[in-house]
Amino acid sequence: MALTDYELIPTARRVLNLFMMVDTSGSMSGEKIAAVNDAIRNVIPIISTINDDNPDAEIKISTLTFASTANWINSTPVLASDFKWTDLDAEGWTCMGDATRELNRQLSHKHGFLASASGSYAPVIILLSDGAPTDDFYGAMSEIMTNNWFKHSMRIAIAIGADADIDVLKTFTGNPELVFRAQNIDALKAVIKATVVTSSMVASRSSSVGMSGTKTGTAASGATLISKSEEAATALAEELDDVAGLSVGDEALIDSLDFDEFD
Amino acid sequence: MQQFEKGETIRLEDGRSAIVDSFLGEGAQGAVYAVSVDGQRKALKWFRKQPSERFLKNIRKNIKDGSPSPTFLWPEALAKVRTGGIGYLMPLKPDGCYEFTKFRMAKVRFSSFRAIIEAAMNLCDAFRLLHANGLSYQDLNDGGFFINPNTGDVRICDCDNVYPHGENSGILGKARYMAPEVVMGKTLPNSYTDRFSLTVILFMLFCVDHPFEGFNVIKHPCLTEAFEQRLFGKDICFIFNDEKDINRPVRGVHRNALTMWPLLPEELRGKFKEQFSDRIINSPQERMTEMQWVDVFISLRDHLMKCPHCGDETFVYGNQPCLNPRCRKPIQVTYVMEGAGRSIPLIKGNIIRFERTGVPSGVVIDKNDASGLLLIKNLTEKAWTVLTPSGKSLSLAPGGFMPVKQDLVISTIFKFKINK
Ligand SMILES: [Zn+2]
Repeated sequence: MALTDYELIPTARRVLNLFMMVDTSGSMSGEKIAAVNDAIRNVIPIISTINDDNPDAEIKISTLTFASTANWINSTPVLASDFKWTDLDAEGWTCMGDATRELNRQLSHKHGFLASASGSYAPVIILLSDGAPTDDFYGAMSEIMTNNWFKHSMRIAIAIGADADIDVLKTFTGNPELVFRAQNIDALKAVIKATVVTSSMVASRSSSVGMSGTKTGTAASGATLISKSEEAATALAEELDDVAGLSVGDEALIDSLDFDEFD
Repeated sequence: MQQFEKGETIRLEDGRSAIVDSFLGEGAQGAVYAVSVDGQRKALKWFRKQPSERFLKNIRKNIKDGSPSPTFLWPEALAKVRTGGIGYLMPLKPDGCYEFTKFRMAKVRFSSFRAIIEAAMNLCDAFRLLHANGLSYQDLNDGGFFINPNTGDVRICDCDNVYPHGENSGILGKARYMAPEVVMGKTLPNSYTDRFSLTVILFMLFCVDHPFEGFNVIKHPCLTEAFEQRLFGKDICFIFNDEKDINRPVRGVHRNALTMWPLLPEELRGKFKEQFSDRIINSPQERMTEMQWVDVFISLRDHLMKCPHCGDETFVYGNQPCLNPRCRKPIQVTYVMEGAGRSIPLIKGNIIRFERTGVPSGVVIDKNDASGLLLIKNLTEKAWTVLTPSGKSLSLAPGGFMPVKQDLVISTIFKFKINK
């Protein structure tokens, strides 16, 4: 019996759950939803590669759409390498509160999507919306804020066009630097690709320790654990700094005077 | 993102030119191309973002000083293009070497214990030479290595982060590979913390699982950053810790560790247990040096041989049984060759390796008659001096034979004495 006859398995990987919450309300119809479909379709093979080469984490994807109701596209999270994207249509209201409640329900180890024998990393949640919630979003937020999975998750929001409610998205992410406003179709595609890839890469790795710059909580050596959200924000800012029609963080709050392709 | 097309020429700072052959792939920092320089095949790494002046100054210094060991894919020349952007030339990874992460994913497997031991020695030797040159690798983790699964040949890339001891590049490393004292913020990386990271990698070479990932880690359904910092810092616990069983490997999850650990000789398991004990974890200066690890692997290599019953690779210590579960026959050792802190079992078919490099020096054969006597054949190109118990000094020519007999001493680079 040679060494190669002993059965070895891929080293135990934690699961990184990537949640994509996509606004499919009526205002998204046309080129916006087409751009979302196209961008996600193009980013899946990249995520699949990140999953295949990563001994630290296996990446699973869940898609939650919300319009007049909130719906999961798959009944359980799907491994990135098996994930198939089905084009979404857009029609109806913007029940973001419903979607947040539905997310809260599945962000559970015992009763939700997060069961895993080898444990999980804190999930990544990417929210895309072009409007304002038509239901009780803030009520749903106060409920989900008691969910530890949500509290520890890395959350990124993409505001599509000028009508997206930035305050709502800021409340959702809890970090203005992780809210991006895409003013045109190209910017939207670029920001979807960058957020999905960067967040998966950062969140699926072990934490990094770096030299504390301006951060607080400095240890004796000056070394400190770099928060993954912070790492993602920095990486995204670098990645996206030359994308035209994109504003980040507080900038996104300024009503842009730019020509808006969506109107 | 592929920036250069096949056939494009890129000027190097040393005056030569690199002609792009193909796009090899993309990492976190940039893309790598296969190029040819003066007809030689090389690799060109191209940065995605303009690196800092300090970083470039450091690479220039490393280029000037040269590589501490051919194991490193060391920068050879910087390259700039007029449109902006910068990269460097380095050796191309040889065919047959695969990323270590592929071994962890069980997509590539070592073909023998011999190959694992060779890989472990090659890694230790490379870091020994790096440290001896006053340099440190900074961010030693499971990325950045290529290993040949059949020969144990190793190549180490990402050498652009190599800085002199005491200086550092900013990022200190990945939580699960850094010494706990770095994770806890007590110290910056140094040669002692590098040695901790190296021991983690050595364990992974043999066990294909992480030495600190057991029940105590996976019982947390969500490994938050705070938990990760604690479980790989203050509360770090080896999965096979003799004193604490809180972090044992979990059946069905940490299967590789449970499969491989019982196959390893006690000599090696004991070293891992000692190096990952609370005592050594808390006393970084007592961690084993690369040289001491090489000695352990030389000894392991001395005890690794073909089972005389089934022909499989097995470790032979005393009269322990063969590793092969279908054989399990005890392997009788009558004589050993002792010297230089080593003890080499002399059983039929065993190849004796005096030198660190592992080139065969001699082979044990049987006399092929009723006597049952064993002989050693000199496989080197030099004569050995053999001292007999009565005080005679004989010369054993290349290709010559000597009997395996109590108290004979072979004097080559070291002195080895045959003993029961
Ligand atoms: Zn056997």
